[in-house]
Amino acid sequence: MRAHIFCASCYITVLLNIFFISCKTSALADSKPSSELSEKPLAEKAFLPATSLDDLDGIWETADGNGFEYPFICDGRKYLRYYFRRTDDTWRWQRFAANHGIILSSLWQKRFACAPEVYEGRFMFPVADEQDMQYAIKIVQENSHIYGSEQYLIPERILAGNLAFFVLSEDRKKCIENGTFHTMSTKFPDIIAVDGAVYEKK
Amino acid sequence: MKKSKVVFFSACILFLIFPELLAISQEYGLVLSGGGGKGAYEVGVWKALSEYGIAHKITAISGTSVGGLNAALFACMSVEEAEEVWKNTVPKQLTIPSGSIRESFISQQGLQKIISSVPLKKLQINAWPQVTVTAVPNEFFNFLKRITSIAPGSSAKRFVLNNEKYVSEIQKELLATAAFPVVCAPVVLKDGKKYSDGGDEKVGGDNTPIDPIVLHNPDIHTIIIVYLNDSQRLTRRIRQIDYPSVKLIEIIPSIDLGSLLEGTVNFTSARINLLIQRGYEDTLIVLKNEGLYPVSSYWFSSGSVSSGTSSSQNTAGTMPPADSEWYNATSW
Repeated sequence: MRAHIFCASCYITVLLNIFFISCKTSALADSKPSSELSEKPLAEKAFLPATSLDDLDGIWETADGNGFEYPFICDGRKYLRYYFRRTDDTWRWQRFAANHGIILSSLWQKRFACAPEVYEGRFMFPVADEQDMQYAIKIVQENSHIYGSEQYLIPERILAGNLAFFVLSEDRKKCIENGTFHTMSTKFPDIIAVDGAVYEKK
Repeated sequence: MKKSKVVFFSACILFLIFPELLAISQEYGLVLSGGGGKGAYEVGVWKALSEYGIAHKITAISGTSVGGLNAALFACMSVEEAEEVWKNTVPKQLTIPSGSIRESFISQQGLQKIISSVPLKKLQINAWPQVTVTAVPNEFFNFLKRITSIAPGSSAKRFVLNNEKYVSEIQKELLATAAFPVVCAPVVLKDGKKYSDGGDEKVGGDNTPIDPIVLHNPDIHTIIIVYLNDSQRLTRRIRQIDYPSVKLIEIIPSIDLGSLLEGTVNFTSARINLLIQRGYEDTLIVLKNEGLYPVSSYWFSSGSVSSGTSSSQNTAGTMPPADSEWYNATSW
């Protein structure tokens, strides 16, 4: 009898999970910007995987402001810089300064130490792995505002092994992601392609 | 940031859980020991800390003697500039052949010239990193302290350089912390008392001054301690058990940096280059053991966040000038 009850409860749990997952998926699909939805037919057109690093040359950006840049040269090394849309985070910094009883200009002086707390993150940043793959929230101030953008620096060597992840249009002006980007990292898991994200060359 | 977070998670770019990456507080403290010419080792340490992004998170530096001088140097100059001072200015200014026996060991005049070349005004403009130096009052009864067992630090006087109103006073305090006993004249500070090198622990000095950081910086949970004696010569080592509220990371020279003549009063270029390299390499080992890797200077530059330049210039740690629109507009 107990076994039957157990089986029945498992079955109900599975059904509930399927229900919630399907709800979540449809909610995510609904929340996608209309610009991304209208781009869907692009995938059916002649898109081909990048075959060389040169194919990725330049700055590529989605309508949402997410994008990547190659080559991004820093400290003499070449990277693919993968960035998410920047946001005005002045309020976060103001709130943190107020909570800690310091003025914003003083907080700015130790911004690199306080940033993870300001962003309520669970991890310290910038962070790198043994292959020089890096992640941080890039912080800048412009005209009395503080902006933040999550970014990755992916070394050229890792990028070269993942060219197939970038699928380009015939005219090489549009790019979509495909499959999995293998980071080969002990700190960063592989990157799964975002369905429907279309990057346009700037 | 909220929206990008959604994209961030949907892209499945999630960190694997690594304990060393968990953020509690990222404020670091740095303790720089005294040791004369051996202080070049600390430049190598600073260089490594900069490459790993730690130097940018140091909000308090406490130093004694050459450690105090380096503390001011690191707070006011870039790594490259600090290295330049040690490699070129220090050998020229501190090894002056002169008639005076005092000056032939460590030239106090040369030291003054080096100190006046540091843009110390930055300490007054910036609240962080907070720089503290340690000196000991030059009292008549100091000889008695030598023959009694006085506790290290019991006579130590701390000076927070950021709090000083005049640059000239900061210069004097730096000169005082590095006024090596016997070979350098004590320095009179604003309280009218004479002060000498704070590293003389036999008269109650504190050569590895961790207390100013622990006592006055509750937000700091990790302190990096740099010693200038290898484990064989180390006479006093800070114990983790005495500071349970903070994590201590020790950087101990892997080689003997030398005694008085070959180490403390040795300011030759060859020696300085060797020590910088050793400090750098020893620190890399420690940081790797902490599970850390070097990070790009890009994260600390003031460049654009989303697009624009395809290369990053190293403007690490640069602060907006005090008179800029930003500085004034946000001082509420």
